[in-house]
Amino acid sequence: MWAEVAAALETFDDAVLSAVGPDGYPVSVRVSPRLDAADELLLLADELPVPMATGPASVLCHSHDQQLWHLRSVLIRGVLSRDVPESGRSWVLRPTAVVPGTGTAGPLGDARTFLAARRRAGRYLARRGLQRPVVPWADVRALRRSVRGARPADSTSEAVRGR
Amino acid sequence: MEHRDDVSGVSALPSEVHDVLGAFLCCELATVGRDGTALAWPAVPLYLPERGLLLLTTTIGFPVKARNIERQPKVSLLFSDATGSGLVQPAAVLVQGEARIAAGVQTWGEDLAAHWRRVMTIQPVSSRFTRPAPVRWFMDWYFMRLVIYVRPRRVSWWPDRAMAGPPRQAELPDVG
Repeated sequence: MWAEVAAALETFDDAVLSAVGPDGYPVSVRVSPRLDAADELLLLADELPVPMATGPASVLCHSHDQQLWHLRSVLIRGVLSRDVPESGRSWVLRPTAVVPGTGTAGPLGDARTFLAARRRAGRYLARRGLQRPVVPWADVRALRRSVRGARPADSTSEAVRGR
Repeated sequence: MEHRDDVSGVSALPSEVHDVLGAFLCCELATVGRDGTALAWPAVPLYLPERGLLLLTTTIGFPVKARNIERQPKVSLLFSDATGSGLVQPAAVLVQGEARIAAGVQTWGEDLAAHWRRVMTIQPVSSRFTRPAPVRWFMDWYFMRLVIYVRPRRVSWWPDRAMAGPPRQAELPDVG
């Protein structure tokens, strides 16, 4: 599992650490993890800018291009702890699992992801006794035609555009 | 559809925060899993300041975050990747709030259409999911969505995006 963690992290500059905060809300911050291969730990930061509870936590690595494509993501689950500050390690994550997202497991991996999602969707509907809903493709196509050539700012809400 | 007269305190947030919430292509949506782990995945947000909300959606092919929200509505959205936003040196913004999932599996509707408008505009290559017919058949699950509304309760931001020190912060009134 450590090899998977190392392989995942080496292709990303930074990552998003998420844990639960003192009031029960999740908290996420950007960190630049370093690998401690000897102890199989992710060294996260000396200090965190917001309070986070030690215990179960995760690190998400993801990236996309200027047009939100070439998506890559991988999630590392683990246990967040505060190491001895004098050791120079401070906040660390001990990984317990790697969850592939998109774009990091190759085209075959993405195909498997999509197939699994299709099956999950079927189960979601079946468990609730729902018919498979029909997607209104004509509306989808009409919308796509209407946005052709639009700038990203054109797709925000009117209130955002009016600011 | 969420009612429109429910204006929260988001209008009092500084413009550097509004700019980020409106322009970033994606954010990291964190929910709390069954075992108490905060799990973040990328998501496309649509900022609706006139309603004091952020709108996100997820396909029923990836329903875990919706199940997490049903169990624990407290969520966070981190806006920390400015790629494609067009903003120069924007802030990093952390939104914490309560999420609510609209009833039913949706394939169309006013808010969902606004979400798709956003996706199609910022991710032109997503048209691959809508043609040709065999692809539409295989990918129909992608268009079966759960619509998620997040009402911000606390907004934290780092003007320099460095996240090295404590953020500026605004608590928003509970108007729900």
